[in-house]
Amino acid sequence: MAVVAALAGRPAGTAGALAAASLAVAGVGLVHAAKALPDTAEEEHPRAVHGPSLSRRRLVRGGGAALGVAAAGGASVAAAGRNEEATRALRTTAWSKGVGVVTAEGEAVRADALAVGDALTVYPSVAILAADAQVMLLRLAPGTLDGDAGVGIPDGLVAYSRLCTHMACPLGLYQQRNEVLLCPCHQALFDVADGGRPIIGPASRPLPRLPLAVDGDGLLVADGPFTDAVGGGFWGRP
Amino acid sequence: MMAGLQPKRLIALGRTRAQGVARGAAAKVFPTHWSFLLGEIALVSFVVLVVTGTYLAFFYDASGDTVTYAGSYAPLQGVPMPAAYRSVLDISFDVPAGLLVRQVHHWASLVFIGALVAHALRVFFSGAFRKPRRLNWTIGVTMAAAATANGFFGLGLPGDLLGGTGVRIAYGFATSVPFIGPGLGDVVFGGEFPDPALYHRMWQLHVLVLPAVLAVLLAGHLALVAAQSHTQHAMAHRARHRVAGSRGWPGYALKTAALSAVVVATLVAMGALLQIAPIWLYGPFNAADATVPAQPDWYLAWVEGSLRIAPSLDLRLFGREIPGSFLSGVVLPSAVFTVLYTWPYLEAWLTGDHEVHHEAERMRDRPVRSARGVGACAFLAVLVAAAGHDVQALLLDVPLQQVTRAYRVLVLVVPPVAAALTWKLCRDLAAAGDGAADGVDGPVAVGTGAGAEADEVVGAAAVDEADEVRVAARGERR
Repeated sequence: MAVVAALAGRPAGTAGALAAASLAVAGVGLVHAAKALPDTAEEEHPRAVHGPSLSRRRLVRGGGAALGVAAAGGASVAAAGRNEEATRALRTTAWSKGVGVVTAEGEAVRADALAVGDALTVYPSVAILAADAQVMLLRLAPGTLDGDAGVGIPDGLVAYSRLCTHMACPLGLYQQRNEVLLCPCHQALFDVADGGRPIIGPASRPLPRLPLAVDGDGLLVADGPFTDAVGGGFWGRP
Repeated sequence: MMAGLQPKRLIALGRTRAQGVARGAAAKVFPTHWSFLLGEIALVSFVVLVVTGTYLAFFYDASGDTVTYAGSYAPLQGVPMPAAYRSVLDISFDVPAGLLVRQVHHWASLVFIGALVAHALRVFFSGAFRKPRRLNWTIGVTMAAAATANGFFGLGLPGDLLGGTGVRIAYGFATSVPFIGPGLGDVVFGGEFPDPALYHRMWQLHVLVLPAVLAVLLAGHLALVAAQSHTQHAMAHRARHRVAGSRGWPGYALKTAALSAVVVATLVAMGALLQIAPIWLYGPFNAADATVPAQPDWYLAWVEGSLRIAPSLDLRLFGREIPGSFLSGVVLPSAVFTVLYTWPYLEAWLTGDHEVHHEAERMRDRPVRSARGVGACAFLAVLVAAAGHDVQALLLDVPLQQVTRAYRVLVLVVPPVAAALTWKLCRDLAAAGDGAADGVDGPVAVGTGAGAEADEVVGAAAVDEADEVRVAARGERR
């Protein structure tokens, strides 16, 4: 009835409500019919007398267990066969020394493009929009970076993997005032002024950093791959 | 009533002839207590899922290829998106009754798993999982696992931002498995997330593999119920090993038809009137975006909650890192399901009771089991609540970290407290149980010819006799 009414051009909500109402009426009628029946009975528990059929029981149980083990074993064998290649894919991204830094639209990013406090999502020129290669490019005020700042951080331009190290969600929110990146999935918080260290939440590793350099034309390029495997933990992470 | 025919004889016939099956089913006695209908609600919901899912399957496109939307929903026109997402937008806005069927399908999935859990709780707390129904309990647990997995894939299929975020996290779980993790991620999700093959993998699992598993298990589950009959609440003036209730025809058949009509009516009404999963508001999945707040459907929320409140740990095994996600996403669900699978055997071992049981027990008569069950439920309930901790922090205007800490305490404190209270309550009720309060929620007796009043009160005498029966059952050796 819902489908018929909707095909006739009625809004599906009205049609559905009508269908539900007619079914409900039928249901109430049946409930009354069932209640009107003086219908009670009793019988022996069939298996209580004869006992369970042991051999059939064993067959079902054994067969079920065998099927389950076979399915799990098959998946494991398939997974083991793909594991080496898959691990390599997880460990690497398209970034390497000399790869150009571009925006999501594919425009090259100049070394003087960002003002202090600005943030921009960038990709490798060879793999624009690649999920595992997305980078948060930030320009921090001079003197804010702690530790071994300067290496691959030209003029306060620091680049972090945009994937959270907890479950690989994209770090959607840059809070400029506190210089933190927030993961919207499980609320991990990373300090961009302190090497991407996790300060609050379930993440345990700092954000991998992408070392940057400036080429002869004043354009940003990568000065090597990420400092660590990006994204969440996985078996075989170096 | 088919008084002239021997039920035993009918059952013997049922093994050999289709006609005999029908006659056996017509004569079979089904219990009338409402709690025996929970499994039927799950059954009807499953049928609704198959029917609505079949309709949706005509229009769904299991492709991760990026396309540009040009359909009738103006705010997303010109937006690049996975082809899967476009097809679900088309189902929602352009396919006749598509949105209605989609919403009924989603609501039915929530009701299906809800009814399945409620049914499992009935079986657990009444001790119906014990010998000789242990095998059927393990079949039921497998169905719960398959249903949960299928619900998850169903959330991922539309290719929206919320579902995609869930799939991303599940991919993280898969890759965390020792020795084969990254390969397992490839096998289930088609490659490093988000691989375009993702939708096709999930699609095959969602509409073929897991429904087939569910259908086979369902057939086995029902066949075992037919062969073994239901457990029976203690009855007045009747020996054990007897079932009382309605005959299959006409009483039980009418009741089941009525229940089915009401369940389908409710699901269609929900689909027609209550919005669910408005994926056009979530937006298409895009590897650079995440949505907030993001909570999964309730039956997955306990895993999400544990991810949110688990402390950040750095564990190592064989010189390799064990990701924190392994504990929440693999160890916790595996532990929960291992306990569920082995519970009938575990309880027999803990209590030393290896007997065959056909009586449905009351919670108050088994305070220890009741306490264990309520404690386990409380543990999972706290984890479900923790899945919304960011929203709660916002609503309560409390720093998120404090909410996290509060949940870390609650998840350890609430289960034992709930268990202790349950134990105390059971003991008190059992002590007071010989009094008049028994009829309220107590055992059901079916008086011959009592008709519609069959579900009424049993007095103290019935309880006394039930206790005697139970004692007799324990004393008997097989």
